[in-house]
Amino acid sequence: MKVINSSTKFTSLEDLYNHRELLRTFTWRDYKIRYAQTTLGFLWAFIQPIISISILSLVFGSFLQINISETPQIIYTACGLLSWTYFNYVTQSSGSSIIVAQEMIKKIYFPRIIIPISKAIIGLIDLGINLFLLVLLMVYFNQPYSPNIIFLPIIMLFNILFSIGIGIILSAINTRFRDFQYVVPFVVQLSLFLTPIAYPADFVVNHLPFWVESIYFLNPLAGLAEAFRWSILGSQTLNPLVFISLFVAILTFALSFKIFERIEKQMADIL
Amino acid sequence: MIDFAIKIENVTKTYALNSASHSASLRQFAQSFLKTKKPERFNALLDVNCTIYQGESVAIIGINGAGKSTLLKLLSRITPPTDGQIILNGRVSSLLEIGTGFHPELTGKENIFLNGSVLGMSKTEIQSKMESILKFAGISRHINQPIKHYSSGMEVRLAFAVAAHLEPDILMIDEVLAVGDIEFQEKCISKMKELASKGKTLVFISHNRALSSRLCKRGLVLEKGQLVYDGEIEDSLDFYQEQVMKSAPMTERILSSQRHLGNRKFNFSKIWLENKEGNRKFDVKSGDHLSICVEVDSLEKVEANVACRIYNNSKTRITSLTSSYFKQKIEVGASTIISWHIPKLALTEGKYRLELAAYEDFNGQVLIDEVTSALWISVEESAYHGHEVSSSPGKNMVYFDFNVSSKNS
Repeated sequence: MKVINSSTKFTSLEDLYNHRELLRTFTWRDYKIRYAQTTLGFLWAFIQPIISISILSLVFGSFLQINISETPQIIYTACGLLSWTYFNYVTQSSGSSIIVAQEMIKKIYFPRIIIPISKAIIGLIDLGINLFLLVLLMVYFNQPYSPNIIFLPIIMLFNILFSIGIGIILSAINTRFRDFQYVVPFVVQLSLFLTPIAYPADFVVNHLPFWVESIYFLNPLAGLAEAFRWSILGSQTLNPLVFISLFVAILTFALSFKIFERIEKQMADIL
Repeated sequence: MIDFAIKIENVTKTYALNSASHSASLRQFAQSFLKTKKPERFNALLDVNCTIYQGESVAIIGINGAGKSTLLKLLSRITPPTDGQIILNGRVSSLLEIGTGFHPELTGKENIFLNGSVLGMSKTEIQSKMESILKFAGISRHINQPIKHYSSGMEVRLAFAVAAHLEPDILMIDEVLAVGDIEFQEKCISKMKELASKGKTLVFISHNRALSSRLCKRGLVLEKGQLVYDGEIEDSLDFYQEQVMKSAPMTERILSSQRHLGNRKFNFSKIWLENKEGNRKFDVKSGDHLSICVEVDSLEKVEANVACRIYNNSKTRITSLTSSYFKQKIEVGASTIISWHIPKLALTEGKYRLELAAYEDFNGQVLIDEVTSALWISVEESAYHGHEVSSSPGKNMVYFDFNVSSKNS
């Protein structure tokens, strides 16, 4: 027996569990249609990160002459890019996912949060490919990995939760204020430069007072990029401010469900 | 024991009219925030109470904007009520449209899985029904092609095939049967009847009177968000019919946007009905005096053989009111009004279509103008012979003036 009134929680955990197969189906659909009708198909999943890694390491390493210890610039960049690439994909595809699926949302019930989550799951493919490319580069350059690597799964988990959190928040807010659709790409682009991807965070924060440095790490991507490098390359000690980043990341994830829940009820009415 | 399937208690659904809180721009939101003016509100549903029992088939009836679709959206959990509560007892499936979630790039088979799981079927359930779904749709040859290459008819069949294999306790359907060809529609209707006979609960929205009375036993009539009638399907449909007549009293119908045929020496431009006194009338009853009036615009004076033909709902011609029966031609000039006078309407209850035609000759060879669907009239039952009696058994098509007598031989 199911009671529905104005205070009924739209999506319960039980509901979400009952619809787990739908999450799988949506994910499978998104995978199927992602490279539909492209000639190169799945190859694109490799071409895109190769190009961005090359461009970034070229710009920061060769043109700007940013000095980064003995690690090859390209490995350094590939490491830093892990967090940002996934974040970039998820904010874009999850962020717009509810609006894209509006026809379905107006016609049938299912826990709406499944939609942005399914997009974030698809992004894991790219994250995996990026990781794979990094391994190839490390083997090629004979780069030793750090014993900190055992922390890599945890850091990746934080990265995934943060990105999903932002994706969920954006997907909900976009339904109410479509203005965000135009703002978000700029912010994400900007974050590419505000995040120590191809340069060390020290490069920015060394000459600044401590409080500015703390603000810098409020951007979870900054801490995550540093943490990724620390766990894989282990070249420097971990800046303790990284924990601010990790905290903000987990907080974002927790808040995202609350925010989504609040807007979810009206979704079919405002779309 | 719980014997109800759906219980609707004091349900109200309010929408804000042209308010910023429901619009999509930050600017409007800021404006409304500063003004602190309460947005205008509108009740799509107002204090609706109703219990639908297990195994019932119920039609929700009402004119557009009465709240039918809103009610169905609430029942299918797409949007929550503003006030009141709904209790659902059993597994619910709702079909507000068919083929929800279909993706053009995916193949027919893949879309069956996608649509099936959106509708709440499990993967194993879909797999076990796959053959039956394909058979129902009758498109097995194309099943591994992306559905963007399907004709729209094929897509509809596929969508319906999936929907027909749902096995919910409560099935809610919005006007989706309107699509598809007749043969396929029949297939779907019999599928729905099968569900009903299995004791499943059916909630159904349709503007199609015949379909509603075939499928449902009970009707709920909504008007401006309120439940105004709840009863036997035929009574509900009658109540609704009356509502429609009252809400939109049509004084005349302009024919310019209709399809005209013929050499167009003149055009039928307007049609309306009049009573014996020459006043416009809206409700037509058996046994009444009825005048069918048509305005004609002609540049030159033309003599024409004019006809008004009456068809019933199933496209059978009941009769024809043709001036050639009297070997009479009607003179038509600039803004002429042609009237057909029927002293005692012999039609029984039902919907009838009026067709207009004008010819230059009596044999119907040279067509001047023809409008096949000039006006639909809805005839109400009344005491044709002066006394209110049921004509049972069976239903009459027409009335005759007659008398009955006896004498000793």
